[in-house]
Amino acid sequence: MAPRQADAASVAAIFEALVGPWVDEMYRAAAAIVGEDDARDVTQDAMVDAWRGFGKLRDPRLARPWLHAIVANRCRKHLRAKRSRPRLISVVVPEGAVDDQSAALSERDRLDRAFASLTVDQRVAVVLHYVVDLSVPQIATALSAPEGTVKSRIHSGVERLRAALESEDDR
Amino acid sequence: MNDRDERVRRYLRLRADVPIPHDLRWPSAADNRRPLTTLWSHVRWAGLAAAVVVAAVVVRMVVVSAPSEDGTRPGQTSPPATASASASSPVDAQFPTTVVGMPVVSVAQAVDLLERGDLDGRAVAIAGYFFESMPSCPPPMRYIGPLDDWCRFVAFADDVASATLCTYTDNSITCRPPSGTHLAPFFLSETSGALPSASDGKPTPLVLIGHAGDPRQWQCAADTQEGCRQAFVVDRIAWANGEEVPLTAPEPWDQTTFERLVPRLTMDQATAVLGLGDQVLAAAAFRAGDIPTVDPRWNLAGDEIMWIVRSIGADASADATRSVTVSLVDDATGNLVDAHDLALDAAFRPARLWTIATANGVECCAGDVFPFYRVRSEDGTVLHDGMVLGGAYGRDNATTYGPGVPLVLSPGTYSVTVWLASIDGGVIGPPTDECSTEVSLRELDDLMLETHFPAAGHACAFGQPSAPRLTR
Repeated sequence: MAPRQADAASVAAIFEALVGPWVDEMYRAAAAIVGEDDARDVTQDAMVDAWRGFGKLRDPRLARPWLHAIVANRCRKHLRAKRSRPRLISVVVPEGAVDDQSAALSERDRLDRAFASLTVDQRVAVVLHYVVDLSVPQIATALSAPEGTVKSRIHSGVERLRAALESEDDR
Repeated sequence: MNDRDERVRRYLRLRADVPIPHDLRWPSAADNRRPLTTLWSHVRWAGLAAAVVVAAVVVRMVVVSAPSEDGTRPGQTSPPATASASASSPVDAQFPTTVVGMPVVSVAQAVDLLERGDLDGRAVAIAGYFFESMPSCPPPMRYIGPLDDWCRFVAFADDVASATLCTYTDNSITCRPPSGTHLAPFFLSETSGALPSASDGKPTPLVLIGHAGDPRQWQCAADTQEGCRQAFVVDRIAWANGEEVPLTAPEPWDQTTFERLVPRLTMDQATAVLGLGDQVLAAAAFRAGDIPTVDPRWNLAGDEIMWIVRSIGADASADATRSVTVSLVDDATGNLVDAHDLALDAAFRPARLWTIATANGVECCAGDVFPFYRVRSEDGTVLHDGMVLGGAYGRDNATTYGPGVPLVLSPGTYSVTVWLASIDGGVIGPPTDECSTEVSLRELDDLMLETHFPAAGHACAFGQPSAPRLTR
């Protein structure tokens, strides 16, 4: 049976109403995971994935974790296929006294390097928890992963970032 | 939260602090792979029947696409290995012949041992090629236990080809489920050693020491317990990429707050209590309340640090497997608190107690109010004190939490107290709307305790314990 035009319009309206509130958050999560340069493509692809998979969303109240799961999948594909790494900030620390700004840049550089060394799954879990503020059970549901696995990914990811700061502080 | 944690959080938020582009395009019918409205006509939120159909299709798709998804066999062979095939599979010459005083066997030989039940609670050292990939899966719509082989492509096999699950090209990756004789190892929070990162999808040569028959099988649902029993749990990564991997204790952390724990003892000090001659397979420090996530036979509560140590006795025999002792060491005193065999006693016939709570007047799933519960034995010992885990679902005016991992309890009568509390900035607020009840458990009981919070300011009430509902 051919779809009726009215149905298509209704679906588009519902889709925009449900997805619209979360697009900025999807973009920011993508930027945090893959870097700002690639966030636009990832988010755009995720929106298309969401559109194509809209029929699988059984409960509109689950739209937010569902969309973040789609972003996470897109980030995973993007990073693995492109083997990309976030751009590193080169910092030249002047001889002698280090002013506050260069110290901050150096810290950012170390954290960038540490973040780049995380697995995709660690990045996704850390960003969903600390940036998007999803709880562990919400992330576990969104990613279809056991809560213990999510906890482990968050912990190991954050631990690596903490270690980068420790080595910085010890200098 | 310490200064470094705050700096890490600030850094993560800074990564996301980017201007939003205004030219993102809304998808349209042109993006459809097939007519969207045709699909849509079959799936409406108001149509429960349609949703059930879709859920069934989704589950069916997962069963077809994901490895070992039937829940009864966590992935050892496909098709099953035979004893004759196993016996004829030698270990690749590049691997060591012994590690930690144990002979190294092939994956096929290990599968043979596992299928005979000879790895239940006994350690074996296995050489093989390892690869894992996490496929994208729809929500499982059911409880996933710690040893359920859900949504992962993992292969530990005797040859590189069998363990090569993904093909990489310049702009795509194609992965397949494992096939042939293989194991699907679980690397858990107590495992010693870190997996080397795989490059370009190439399997990694490893020697793993591990066991089956893990006690966490009791944290799986009854209908998947047999599969969880057969799960191969890694105690120690003993050798990788041509190099021996030293015993290391995983970084200890609090599984609720993710904060790092700082044990008083070193790993060597914590394992010294075991005595001369014992070979340590794994040693890891945990918050006492997290100990049941490693061995549910020890129901502990509290924040003190305890070490779990798995060891084998000195044994020069050619037997491929070794019995394993699990010891609990108090980090504060260095004393041995308790010890038992890793293998489950035939008389171990515990009950599972699942917990679920529904809070009326709490909007789903805002994530600022959570149910907690405490379980005491008849002598007053606190066996559990923590959140009701397992996710949340519901409506504008009601939220249901759980069920998460069940408590594994000996037969007996227990006092259960449930309450609501807020969590704000990692700080748990005062308990509200508390209620208590007693639950009597018999051997092999599998019961769910359901709690209802009628409204804010009103004490909760319990339903009759009933068979667990582990699907949504």
